[in-house]
Amino acid sequence: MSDKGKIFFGLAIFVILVTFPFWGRLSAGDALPDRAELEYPADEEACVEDTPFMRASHMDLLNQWRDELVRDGNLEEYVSELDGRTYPRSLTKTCLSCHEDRDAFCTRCHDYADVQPTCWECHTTPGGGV
Amino acid sequence: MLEAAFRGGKRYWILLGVWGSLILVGLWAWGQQFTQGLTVTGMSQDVTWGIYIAQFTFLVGVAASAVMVVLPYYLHSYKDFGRMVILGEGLAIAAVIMCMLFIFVDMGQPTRVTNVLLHPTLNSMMFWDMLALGGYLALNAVIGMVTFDAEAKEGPPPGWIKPIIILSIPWAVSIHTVTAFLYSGLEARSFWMTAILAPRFLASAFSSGPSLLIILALILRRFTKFDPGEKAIRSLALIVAYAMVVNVFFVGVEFFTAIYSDMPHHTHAFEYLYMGLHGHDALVPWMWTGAALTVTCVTLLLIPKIRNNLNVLGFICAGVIAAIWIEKGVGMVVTGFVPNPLGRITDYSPTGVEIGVTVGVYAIGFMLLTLIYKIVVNVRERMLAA
Amino acid sequence: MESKSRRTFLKETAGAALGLSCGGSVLTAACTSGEDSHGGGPVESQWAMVIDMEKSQDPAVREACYEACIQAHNIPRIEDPEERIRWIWDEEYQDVFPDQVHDQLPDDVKHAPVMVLCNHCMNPPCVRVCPTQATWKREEDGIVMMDMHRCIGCRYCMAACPYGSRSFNWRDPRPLIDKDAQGNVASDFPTRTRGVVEKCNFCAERLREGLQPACVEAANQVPGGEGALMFGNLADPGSEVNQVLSSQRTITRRVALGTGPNVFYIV
Repeated sequence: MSDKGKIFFGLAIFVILVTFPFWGRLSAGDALPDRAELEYPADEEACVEDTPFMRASHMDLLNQWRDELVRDGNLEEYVSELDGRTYPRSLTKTCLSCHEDRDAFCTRCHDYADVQPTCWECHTTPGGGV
Repeated sequence: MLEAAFRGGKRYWILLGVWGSLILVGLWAWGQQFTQGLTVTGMSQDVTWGIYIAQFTFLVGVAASAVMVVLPYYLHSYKDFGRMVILGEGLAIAAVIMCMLFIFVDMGQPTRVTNVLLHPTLNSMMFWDMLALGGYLALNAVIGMVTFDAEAKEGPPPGWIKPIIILSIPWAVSIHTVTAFLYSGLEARSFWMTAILAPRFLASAFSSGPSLLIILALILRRFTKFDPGEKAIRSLALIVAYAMVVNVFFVGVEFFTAIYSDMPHHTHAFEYLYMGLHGHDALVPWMWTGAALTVTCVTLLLIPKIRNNLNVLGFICAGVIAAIWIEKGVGMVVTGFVPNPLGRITDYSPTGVEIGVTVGVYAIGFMLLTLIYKIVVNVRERMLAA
Repeated sequence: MESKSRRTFLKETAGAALGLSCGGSVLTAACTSGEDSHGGGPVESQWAMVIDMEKSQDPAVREACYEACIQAHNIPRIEDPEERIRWIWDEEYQDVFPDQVHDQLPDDVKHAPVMVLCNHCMNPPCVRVCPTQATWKREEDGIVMMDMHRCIGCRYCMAACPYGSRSFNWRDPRPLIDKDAQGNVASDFPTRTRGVVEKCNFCAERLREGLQPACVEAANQVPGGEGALMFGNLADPGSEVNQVLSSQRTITRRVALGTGPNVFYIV
């Protein structure tokens, strides 16, 4: 029983480390906005699929496109379940041709959600923007 | 039982402190590598594997060598190894973990390491090596814990552990065989593409691993009340002697094939190692040191009077380890890349960062080994006192 | 043909032997799903290149090819040979065809520059060893592809390639890629990240759009370079490459290894 102090000390360190994302964010002091302010493309009504799906699953769709195009060599265009329109499976050609300002859309939301996708380490914006 | 690891004398804590600070050095070095890329290493487009993969290869051998105590004890009821077996298993655990870490630090994209499991690829030897190493780690951890727990409670181990122990014997052979297959299946590298590579790896493993075990046993004898037994140490020394002779024979076989056939693709690597090729002779002093150590150690080991002298044996074993380390950890991997497929010779030497990472990984292994042996020694000392 | 059928037989036997071990839970997924075909399985068609060594002696031709490739794939310019990224480049005849070199060969032949690139082998060793299927032989057109998202950077493929055709990104390549005044790179082809292996992809991204590989197109535009590089499909009996291969004396690199290169050289 003499180890009680040590045990509680160890547990305390564990709890502090595990809850770091919460108190780390709070103590940083930056007030979080209610939502990310995104700039949507002006002349388009909808994305390749409906907004809730895109918001939740765009990364899965992109991974699916990637595997279909790169690995399976599927050259046919993606058919939208929303309206039957077709799109090339391409981050640069399809996504970024509408969302021209990557920073005002992708980056802003990713910053808000505190996620760091690695797409842009390799992919460019149309015209070779890095 | 585990609480023994948290109690110890001053020497114990100093030892842990040394490993701990070396681990910090390793972490710092790995941080450099992680943020800047593998450009901080001495590897290049021509020599794509260096000290990390070489240490991995050497340590797979150390891990596999536990079988040299497990097999006589469990299959032949060689009771003198009774107190040695757990030391062998502990060494295997620490060595396998170091192997895995050396693979990990060699990766260009360490955050994607799970891809090997997410996309299992049966035609890749690296996939099989991962399975073999992971399985071997699990086997030794389970066997070590169950048998030692039974021993601490002074009862027999449960019956179900026996088939698992038997399984661990061929499994030990498999880890080093598959590791040799990583190299020997490559038509691009004639130095590695030799059927005797796997047997050679096993022979050198069974000399370096038990040598390390002997040294560890001698240290425990000297500094603790626990004695693995003089007879056990001498039996191990005999194993080292046999394995070392077989290893020398296998290396000789390789030499003959290359030199007698005199095919340039086959002789180049040996020329590079022992004489230097087109002025590139960075490894030559290493290889001759290794050769001198090998000859000396084999000679001494073959003389029973010297081999059985525990005051000398430790030094001979250190010589054996150094010789095998040079053979596998310095010569084997790098030379596969010399000359490269386009006839170019690029020299390789590890950078400070690379050495730092290497030292860090070894420190993690030895810290683990220290903790395991501490627990073992504590239980044994308690049993002796009772 | 005999050696080929033996190879196929060995492969099938090895496959069957490995298949026996497909009991574990991790393995079952791979065994039943048959994720990707890899190794030197049969291909439906095969892109191939023929290089005319005589015509490609002109440095202007070779330089045009290399520049076109660098621009098309945003290849970083790294001078240090220890870290240089190579897709298509010069090597000396004696190093490209070591089995064809003998002592009596004049020096100018030994040292003649030869263009080298990935051979997109029939039986690619790089594909055989890759632990994540980050590189594989595409069934429909025989291109040995790279998935930069999948590669873990273990460099096993570089040890396995007998042609030195693969390059590793030892550092972040982006700062070393050519950029225009606006800071843009030359093409939309994704740049690479540090820690992955790359190589020639036979311009899969251009073939997709019905274009010829960038190097082939560039060579044809240099006066005297027309036909220095020819490209086509071996499955198409009327293709230019098939016509050349059936009528002229061609060789490939290191035939004895059994990798089956698909880059041919007119001697």
